[in-house]
Parts: sequence; structure tokens; C-alpha cells
Amino acid sequence: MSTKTLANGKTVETYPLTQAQRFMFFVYKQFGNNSPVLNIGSGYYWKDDFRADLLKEALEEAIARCDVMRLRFTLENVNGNMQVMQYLVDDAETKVEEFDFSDMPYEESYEIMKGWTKQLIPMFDCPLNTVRLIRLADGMNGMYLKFHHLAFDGYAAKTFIADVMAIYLSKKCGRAYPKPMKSYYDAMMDEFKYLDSDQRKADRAYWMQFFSNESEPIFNDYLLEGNRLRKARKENPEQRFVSLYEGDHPESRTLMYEVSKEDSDLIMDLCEKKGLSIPCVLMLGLRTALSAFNDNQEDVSFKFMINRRGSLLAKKSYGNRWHFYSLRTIIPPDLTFEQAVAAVEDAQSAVFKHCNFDTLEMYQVKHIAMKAGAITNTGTASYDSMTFSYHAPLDVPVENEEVKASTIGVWYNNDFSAQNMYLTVKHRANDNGFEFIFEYRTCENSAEDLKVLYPKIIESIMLGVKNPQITMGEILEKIKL
Amino acid sequence: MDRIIDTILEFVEPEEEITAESTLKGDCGLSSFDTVCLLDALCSEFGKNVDEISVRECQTVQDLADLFLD
Repeated sequence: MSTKTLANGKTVETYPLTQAQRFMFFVYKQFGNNSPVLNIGSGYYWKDDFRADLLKEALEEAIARCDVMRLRFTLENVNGNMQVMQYLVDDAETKVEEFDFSDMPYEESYEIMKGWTKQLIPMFDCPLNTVRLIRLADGMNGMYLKFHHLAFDGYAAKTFIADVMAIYLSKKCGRAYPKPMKSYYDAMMDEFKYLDSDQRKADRAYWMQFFSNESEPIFNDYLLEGNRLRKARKENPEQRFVSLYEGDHPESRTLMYEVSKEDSDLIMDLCEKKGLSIPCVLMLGLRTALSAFNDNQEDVSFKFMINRRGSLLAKKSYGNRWHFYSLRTIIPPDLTFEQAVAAVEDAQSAVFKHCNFDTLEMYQVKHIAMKAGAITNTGTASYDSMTFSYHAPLDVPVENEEVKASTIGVWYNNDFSAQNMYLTVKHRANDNGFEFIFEYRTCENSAEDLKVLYPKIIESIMLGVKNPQITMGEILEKIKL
Repeated sequence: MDRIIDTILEFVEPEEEITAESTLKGDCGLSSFDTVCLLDALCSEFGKNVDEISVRECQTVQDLADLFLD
């Protein structure tokens, strides 16, 4: 910890980035190419007898309750090296502006807000967030939010929306005012405590042992024609990894698929009835499709995002807590769908227990522990062709079922990605159905690749959901290319 | 039982009061990640090692209590 004197003469304490922030910033510097890759733009709109005055008050009160709104980053010379540090100021300085797009088509207002999302957020010594009250066409109203990814992750953004809506409905409908949020400062201190803890030493030892004992994973591509491992194996038939990010172009596009409410309900009903984890069912679908794309490979890995929000402090203190770990499963064809979900859950739980160990350090441990030749030192070699994240439904209060049915949540893509291929699965705001959002770098992927991948993912999931005793071999046979 | 419930309340804020009959996923709203963290906290609270497979098989708060309070 050190101090900084602000322009107003006040001295504040400055802190290093947390482990999750350091990883995010590293990826941005390495693969983001100074693009707006760290901008998160989202919108939340609904149709009711709208009270703009009350929503504005709710937004202002939610900002005041959220200490991350007062977070700033700065550059500091630490032992001769310029490092990014963070500090909290007294005043968020985030003003709620109002924009009226009610007389223009939805598509046009969407493009305007997407444009806002793509504007670079100055990172140092200034406010990082934008909060706007929006009127859209057809009586839809709500909020546009733009956050800096080092200060907010997707969970934090949704938590903010939930808090705004709880405050709005307390004012409009006389409901109970929501309980206070938790302190980002306390959560940050918790993260720093871990760095010197015995638990961190134990986690490091666990991963060192894990990678030392682990056989070498194998890359499973989602590309059919351009399968990168097959290409690499023409030169080295034993190769099991691939170098990604060969083109330093973070431009990206998104492709979204919606799972019908009926199919979404079938998936969630099975999970409830059998006590299965929803993300594990979804991840099984992804790994089965990857297996089908790679000659029914039993050994499949991909990266997955862990938001590390277990305690109420972690859940209610905003910030960015995301760590990314590889999820490797070896699933033989005679396992049933239900057994395979359990195998994914076992693999996930094993990672969960040690996932506070920071991602950057974990990769160093992996490089040290795995035998020479397994991984190159370019930093781009990977056994994981893509990244998966699941955003669980977070209860956002609604006035009534009619208003809920009108509600939409919008993610404004910034058209840049530090990840090669990133699949996010979310729930729709109006009916809780699944949305599969693929964000892909255009220099290495095309939408055509996804038009084959997505149907295989959902087909494999639905085969298992309709018959949990079907074997994985039977599923692979039915979805074969 | 109170210690079990108090520990659960460090992880979730359910709308209804938690009782022995409350289900861990449905009523308490515990996710897979919450459950892993909760197990860690309960093992510290009760000074007892319980494997996660046993915890995953628990449906209710009472099932969980049976693992730690026997």
C-alpha cells in the first residue's frame, strides 16, 4: 500500500490490482491491442407506467451505495516499474444523464448505444463508468450502463441492475428498501490477505502436484476445415497443443442463438429433478460437440470462467473476481449422460476448491510442472480452443408478470475481444430461457464455423435431457458429422 | 442446527427463513460454487473433514446437519 495526493489536495491510499484484475489487465495488454475490449455495455428495459423521476433517484442511490463507482486507477512508480494501482475517492462523480430515443426505431438506438460502448474509457485518475436513463420506442424504458471490466464483471453489472430495480420498486410500489450492499474495499482486502495465506501455499502445491502428475492434455478444435491440431501434426505428429492468437487483431463479432423456452425448461427441470448442475450440463454439451469435431476424442479441455462469488461479501461487493481455469474431462463412451454430467461436476469441483489461486500464477505453475516440450514458452500455446462462461440467473425484482414479460436485457458488444472464441450462456430476462452468445475474433474465425458447432452442442444436450440414461457413445453416434 | 444455518447465511440471503427442511439448492439457492465454499466453512466451523461427494448428495439442511452434527 502507498499513498497518492489528489488534485483537491486530499491524500488517499493506493493498492495494487487484485489477482483477477492483474489477469484481466495482462490479457488486455497482451491481446487487446489498446482496443475497448475492457468496456462492458449493457441495457435493461421494460414497459410499465414509467416514472423517470423515480428511476433517476434509484440510479443515483444505487451509485451512492456502490463504492466501486468511486474506484479509480492510476499509474505509480513501484521500485522503478510503472504499475497500475487503485484507490477510492469520496465522490463517484457519475452523473445520470437522460436520453430519449422514443421516436427512433429500436435498431437505430441500439447502434447509438453500441457506439457509446465502443468509446474507449480513459483508464487513469478519472471516473470509469457511465449510467444513463433511456427512453426507447414502443413505451420501453430503462437504463444503459457502461462499466470498466477491471471494476465490474458481468455478475457485478447484473447485481447493480438488481439493486437499481429493487430501489425503483421500493419507491414506486412501496416495497421494502433493499439491504445495504457490501464493501468493495473489504473484498479487496480479503483478496490481498489470501496472497500471504497458508491456503495460497496449499493451492500452489496442489496445482504443482496436479500438473506434474497429469498426462498431457490435447487440443480439440471447433474448426472443421481448418482444424489447427491436424495442421500442426503434419509437421509434428505427436503435437498436442496449438498456438493461438497468431494474428494480433482483436476485432470480434458475436453470434447469438436462443434456446426455446420449452427446451430451456426441459433442461432446467431435469437439473432440478436430478440435482444436476445447469452449467455442468451445458459444459457437457460443449465438450461433446468438441469431441464430435475431433474424431470422438474422449479427452477434452476448454477454459471456463469462475466468478468466485460464494460468500455474501463476494456476491454483493461488485468488482471483478473472474478467474479462468482449464476444465479437462476424460469421458469414455459407455458413461451415461447423467454419469457424464457428474464427471464434469467432479472436475469442476476440483478446480473450484483451488480457484482463488490467481490465473497468471497458475499458468506459470503449469509451465514449470509440465515436462519440457509439452508447452512452448510463447504464451500463446494452448490446449483449450475456446472459453466458456455461464451467467446464472440473478433475481432482478420485477413489478409484476406482465412487466417481466416485456423486459429485455441487452449486451452491447464492443466488437473487440481478447479471447479467440468465447461462448457465454445467459438467461433471457423475460422468460429465463437460454441464450448462447459466441464472441469470436474475426481474424481466426467466421460465423460459418459456429453454424455447425452450436447445433451439435444443443442437440447433444437435448438427447441427454430427454433420456439421461443414454450413453455418451450413443449421443456421439447421433450427432456425428 | 443454528450453527449450520448461520454458516449457510454467510453465503446466501434467501427470502424465506431457513429451516431443517429447506432444500439447499431450491430454498437456500446454493450454487455448486457456494456449496464448495460452504463445505470449507463448515469443516472449519466444526473441525471435521467431510468429503464433497457426501455433501453433494445432501438435499436438505437436515441432511447437511447429519454430516456435521452426528
